[in-house]
Amino acid sequence: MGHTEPAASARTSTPAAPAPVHSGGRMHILIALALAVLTVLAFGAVWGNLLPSSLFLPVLLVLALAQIALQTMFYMRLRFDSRKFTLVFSSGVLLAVVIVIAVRLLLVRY
Amino acid sequence: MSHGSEASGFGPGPGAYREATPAENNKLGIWVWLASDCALFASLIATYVSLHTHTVGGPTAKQLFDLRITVAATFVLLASSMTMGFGLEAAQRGDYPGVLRWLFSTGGLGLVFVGMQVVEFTHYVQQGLTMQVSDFGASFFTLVGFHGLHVSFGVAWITSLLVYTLRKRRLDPAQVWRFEAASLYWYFVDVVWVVIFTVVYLMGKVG
Repeated sequence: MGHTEPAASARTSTPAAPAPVHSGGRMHILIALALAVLTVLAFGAVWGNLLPSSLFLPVLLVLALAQIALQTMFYMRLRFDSRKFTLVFSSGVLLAVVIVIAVRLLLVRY
Repeated sequence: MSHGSEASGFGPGPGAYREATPAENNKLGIWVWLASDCALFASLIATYVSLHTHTVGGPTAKQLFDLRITVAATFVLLASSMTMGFGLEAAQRGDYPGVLRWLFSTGGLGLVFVGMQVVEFTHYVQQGLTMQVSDFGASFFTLVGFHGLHVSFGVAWITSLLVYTLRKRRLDPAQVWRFEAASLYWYFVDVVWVVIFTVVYLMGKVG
């Protein structure tokens, strides 16, 4: 909905307000670099066996959550867009978590 | 921040109401679709997590997975997200050649990703992992293959946008939402891959 982007800019309070962060190729490059670094960290931890086994799961989950947050907030523009989109998507994520728990409970004895 | 009342579909003043534009409604529809897709992938991921140890004497994830090709595929998909972002910005600027260039790059990277997945699957089948051999094989191929189908659908969507743009020979500002819808889908597919890469491949390799 590109024609709403100028409207989004116009929503910022004053004429002197800086342009939104998402209106520039630099943001895409920075996010891509951050995602690449997080991927390398996760891969390196597993490939180099750098962590005690008890730490693998939490560290990998934190790295994955950081990547997901970056992608949804900046690439998918939930950080800048209407809250109703965040609400809709969060509902889907919440439902996903419930499904994961339900399936795990269902198959736990399988 | 732009979480203003207008962004929520309400008018500029308290109590005033503004009808959402068709483009906004379309975008909301895309978000609802993506939210429902979350549930679909959640069921597949949960099934895989529950069944991945059921190898019935067949190859295990730890024996089988070669993280190097998976990491390479991950970087390809990450790069495609960046090019998709450039393509969307080009569409918003009305930069016709830019849209063609970046969408073509994104679709091409998507095809490379699918190709890498085909190579990976072929390798696993040669190593003795098929859908029939164990619960692990069935849940793995279903989950990762389903994601691959999503990427393939995304490539088809991008191709249709390219054809649409080429036929129009210009960019209509009122139609830019089409590019944003495709970009949201593409980013979502990338987000799902982050989860699959972590849960299936990295944790599978750790054991």
